[in-house]
Amino acid sequence: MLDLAQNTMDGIAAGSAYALLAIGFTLIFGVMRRLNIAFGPSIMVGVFLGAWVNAQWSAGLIGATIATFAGALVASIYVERLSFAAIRGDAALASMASSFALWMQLEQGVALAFPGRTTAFPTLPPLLDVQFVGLILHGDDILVLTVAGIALFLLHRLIYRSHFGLEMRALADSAEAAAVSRVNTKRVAFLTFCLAALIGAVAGLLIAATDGQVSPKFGLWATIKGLVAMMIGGLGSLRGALLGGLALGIVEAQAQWYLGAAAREIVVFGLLFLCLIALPGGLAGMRETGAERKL
Amino acid sequence: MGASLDITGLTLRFGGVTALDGLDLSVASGTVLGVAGPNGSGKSSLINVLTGHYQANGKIALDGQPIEHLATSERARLGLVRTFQTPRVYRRMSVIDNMRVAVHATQAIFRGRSDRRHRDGRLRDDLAIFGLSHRADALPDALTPYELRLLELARAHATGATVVLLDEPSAGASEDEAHRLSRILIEHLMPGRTVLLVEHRLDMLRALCADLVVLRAGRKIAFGSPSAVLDSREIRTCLMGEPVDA
Repeated sequence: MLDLAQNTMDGIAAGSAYALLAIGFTLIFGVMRRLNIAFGPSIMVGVFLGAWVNAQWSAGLIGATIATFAGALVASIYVERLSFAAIRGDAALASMASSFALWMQLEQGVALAFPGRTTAFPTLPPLLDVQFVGLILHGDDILVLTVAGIALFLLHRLIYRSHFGLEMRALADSAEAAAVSRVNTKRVAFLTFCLAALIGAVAGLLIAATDGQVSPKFGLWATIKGLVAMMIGGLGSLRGALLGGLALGIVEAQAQWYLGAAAREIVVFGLLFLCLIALPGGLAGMRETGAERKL
Repeated sequence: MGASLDITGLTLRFGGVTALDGLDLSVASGTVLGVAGPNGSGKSSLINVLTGHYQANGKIALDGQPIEHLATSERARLGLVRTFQTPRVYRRMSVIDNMRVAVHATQAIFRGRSDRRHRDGRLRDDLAIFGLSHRADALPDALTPYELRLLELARAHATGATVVLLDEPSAGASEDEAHRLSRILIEHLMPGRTVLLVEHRLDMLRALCADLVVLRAGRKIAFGSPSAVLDSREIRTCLMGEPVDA
């Protein structure tokens, strides 16, 4: 029982980073109704830039953080301009295929720029583990949960309390109504893409700083984790992305503990399969379909 | 104030079907032009082309400025907005939030707390004008079809649009609702605006429009004052399928 609780706590910390990845996917999917599968690789460009800045100038975590945000933002804007802004809104498949091509490009670009492949990333500042009722809350996990919590709080404020958030929700709700309500739909879509990049960069930063290293496979990893969490939670729902990310983290932690690392991925994809069959609307919308639910 | 709308040689084809066939039209600033025609005559296609939902050949000018190359939202930001036969509202947002989007998009000065209060006060006044003040905090799913239409009209009003294209605003409305709708349009939406009104109800076209154009197979077959156009037996036959007293 204690193991179950400990695994759940560990899983929530990992799941909070997955949730941020899923929220990044959801923001783009909700507003544009198009899937950006180059989302993970764009974040990877950011974390590699962070690692490079740190290696070049011993910039530490703060310098690496700034570079990670800048790199993820620039790579995302590159993807947005080529795969989304340049392609008609109703051509969702063309955008997805195009973003796949850019994924390959970004991944190869990073592999060529960093031939050593795995690169060191500055780690999180050491924080003491906290013990209570026999459970251990690791210092790293406390930091990850705190940063993810702050990011989620700020995102919530932005979406539900700001001028931009209102327009973003309007565009996600009805693109036709937004277009005739004088909403600058192109600008809102672009800024949403940038916001998703920043949210994704927070996740990338937390994961890279926890591991202390990054590899070119990070893009694939982040895309799969984000997509799986989004689908478990329910396409297009922010609440679903949060729930899906946490569920994914907890299930991974339990599976690893009870069944071993090799079985972890099998359990995760089994869960995704079950969700798609039994809860096509995801955890956030038991009765709605993903297409009906919006931000 | 309203802006003029000039359409020259507008042609729209869907495969072998011609929806609009070299249509020329001018709507003077601040006037109401009715558009009538049998089903499939090109009325809704005309609105869809004017707002950029469909791309057609020909020229469209808003106050003399070409707009045919602009996207729907860019045309809307120049003041050209529309309503739909089936109202398009934000179903996940309250009625007042539906209105807030329109004002936010036009007046970025409403940012501070007091500005927001001022804005909300104005929007609630607008909702009262359109008979929706009691629905301000409801979600659109709780509204009747007639109220949804009023919400869409109120939102178009809140955008401060100079040209409004109305696509069958009385569709599905009862006689009484259509009558109330006409009054709201005359008293609140139409003053100072250029309006293109696509409508099946001949009584509304007579009451609301300065001029009336009748389309058939994407072509203009009659144009003039509603009474003069609708007095023609041939036109009434075209519109109603058989001679009637309108």
